[in-house]
Amino acid sequence: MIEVENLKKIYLLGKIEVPALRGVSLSIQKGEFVGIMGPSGSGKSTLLHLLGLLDTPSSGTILIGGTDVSALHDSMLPHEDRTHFRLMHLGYVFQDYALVTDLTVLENVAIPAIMQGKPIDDCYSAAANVLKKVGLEKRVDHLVYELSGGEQQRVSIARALVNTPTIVFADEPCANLDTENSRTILELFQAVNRELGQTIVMVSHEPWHMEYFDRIIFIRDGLLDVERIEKEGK
Amino acid sequence: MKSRGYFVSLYLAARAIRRGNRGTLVLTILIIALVVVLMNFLSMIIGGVVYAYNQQMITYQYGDLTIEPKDKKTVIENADSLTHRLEQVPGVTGVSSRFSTGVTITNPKNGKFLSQSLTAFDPDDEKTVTQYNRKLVDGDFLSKGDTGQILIGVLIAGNTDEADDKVPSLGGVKVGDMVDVAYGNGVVKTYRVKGIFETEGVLIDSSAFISRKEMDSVMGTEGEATAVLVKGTSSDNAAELKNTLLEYGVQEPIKTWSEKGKGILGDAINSFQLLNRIMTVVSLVVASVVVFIITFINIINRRKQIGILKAIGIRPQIIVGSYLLQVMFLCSCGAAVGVLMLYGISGILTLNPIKFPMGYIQPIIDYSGLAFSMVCLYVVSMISGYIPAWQVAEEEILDAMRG
Repeated sequence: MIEVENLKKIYLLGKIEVPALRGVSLSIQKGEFVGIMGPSGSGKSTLLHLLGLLDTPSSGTILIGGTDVSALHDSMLPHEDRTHFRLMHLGYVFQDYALVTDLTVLENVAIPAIMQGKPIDDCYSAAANVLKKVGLEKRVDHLVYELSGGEQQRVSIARALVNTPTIVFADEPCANLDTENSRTILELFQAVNRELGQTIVMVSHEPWHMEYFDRIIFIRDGLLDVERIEKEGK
Repeated sequence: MKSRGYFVSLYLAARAIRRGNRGTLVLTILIIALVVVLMNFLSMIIGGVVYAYNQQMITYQYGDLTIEPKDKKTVIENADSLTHRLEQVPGVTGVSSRFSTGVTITNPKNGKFLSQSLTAFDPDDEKTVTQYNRKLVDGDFLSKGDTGQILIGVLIAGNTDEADDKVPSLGGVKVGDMVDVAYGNGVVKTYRVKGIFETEGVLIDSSAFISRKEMDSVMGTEGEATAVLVKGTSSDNAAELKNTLLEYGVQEPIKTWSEKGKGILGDAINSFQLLNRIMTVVSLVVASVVVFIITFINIINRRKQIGILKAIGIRPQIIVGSYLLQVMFLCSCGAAVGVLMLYGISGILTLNPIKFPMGYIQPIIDYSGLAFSMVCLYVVSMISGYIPAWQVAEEEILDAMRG
């Protein structure tokens, strides 16, 4: 499903090069619920952003479903570029929910489907179905700021799932939630992974989240922490 | 996908407008409306000035056409026969032969005097071309056989207290008073003021008239005219009427009212229009800066949202499109409110006209100018909205999402 080869990312702080990833190679199978863990500044979010085409690598390759997505860029034809690939194949859940405040819960979830060109009624109906799955069927007409943090994160998950993407990327989705809400979110991810067979790649730094993952990739100083993967990576 | 892109732009724009800050929305619309007013107000007044001036020229000074003496001649020698011929031309509804000469009018009561032009006409003919007979504030209009009588404008009559006069006057002459008129040929005659007229136009209300019979008896001008005024069925068709008269063999120079009037007010109107153009440019700069600032602040506040939209697969062009649609909406509402405000101002100024030297002015909206200002407003607003929207929409997703 995902094949990563010698992935590097170097940020420039003025004239100083700061390596965030220093040559990561890994593979993730279809239907896996994979956790990416490591200390702060280890490069786990950078890796997720590169896998999710939100950022471009300095070097290395990423293959998703056989497509070399690291070679995609936005100056390509509209149906071949990174934006199109993200829309058609990937879903995202962000730490701070990242919902559009001008849109209602239903509209937030429906917008990726609308953008795909599906009939509007179908988009709303798909959005309503996913919202029901995440337990928010009574909140569809609310604006997002009228919801609690846990509810907003569930909306974010519903939005990530509405187009039934190949892979869902989640960047510390429980970071702003209490334990109870975090558990709800993780169980939701687990259920989606089990029931729909969707590949989920999630960044976390909470040790107790490990029990939910099928496999864990540890990162340290921009490299895979092989020793820890062998010990704790399942 | 492209048409869906337009739809998504509209979808996002409609919701941003509906759920955005109402106060900002209303304020922005109001500012754009005021810009529309600012761009069109002066031209509305200029339009009123030009219209009033044109009407006064047609109604009191020149008729639709003025026939003048040939080159190097001071008078039209066969004026009676010309007048008779003109009356037969289809489309001509009135003809008045005038003779003007320089005189000095003195008020013997106070010794005040004015050197100016005195015009003679046949009162019956004059009624078919001009409307002095309808503008009398005191006394009567001249009659065909009147001798020893003079018709004067209210500004010549003046006031006893000089401070009340707008222009030099005879110091408070009333109907029935006697004034002395000294002609260029040395003749001095005393005339009884038969009537005083007021048209509100400074130039016109400074005129004085006697009957043709009186002028002929003093100056020996039988059959001569310094000008022949012609009235047609419509002043708008003055040029056509001029061509008709030329076809009928009129040899003397013929000028339409607009050709006659160009010189006097032309420079003033050109200056007004220059001011208007400057105001329009300033207003457009104000509008573009306002729209730029509003869009910029709006977009800076929504950088994160733009990043989110891009992250979930919405193209920058669609995001920019949604902001341009918002700008278009603001412009359309602002323009509509602006036009309503212009109509309101026009209505108020029609009920309470502004006084100008040519009389009371009723504003006239210049629709072609209004349309042009709208197009300019839309263009500058779209450019001002596009630049910040494109700048942020082209940012890296993660940079935008950090806000």
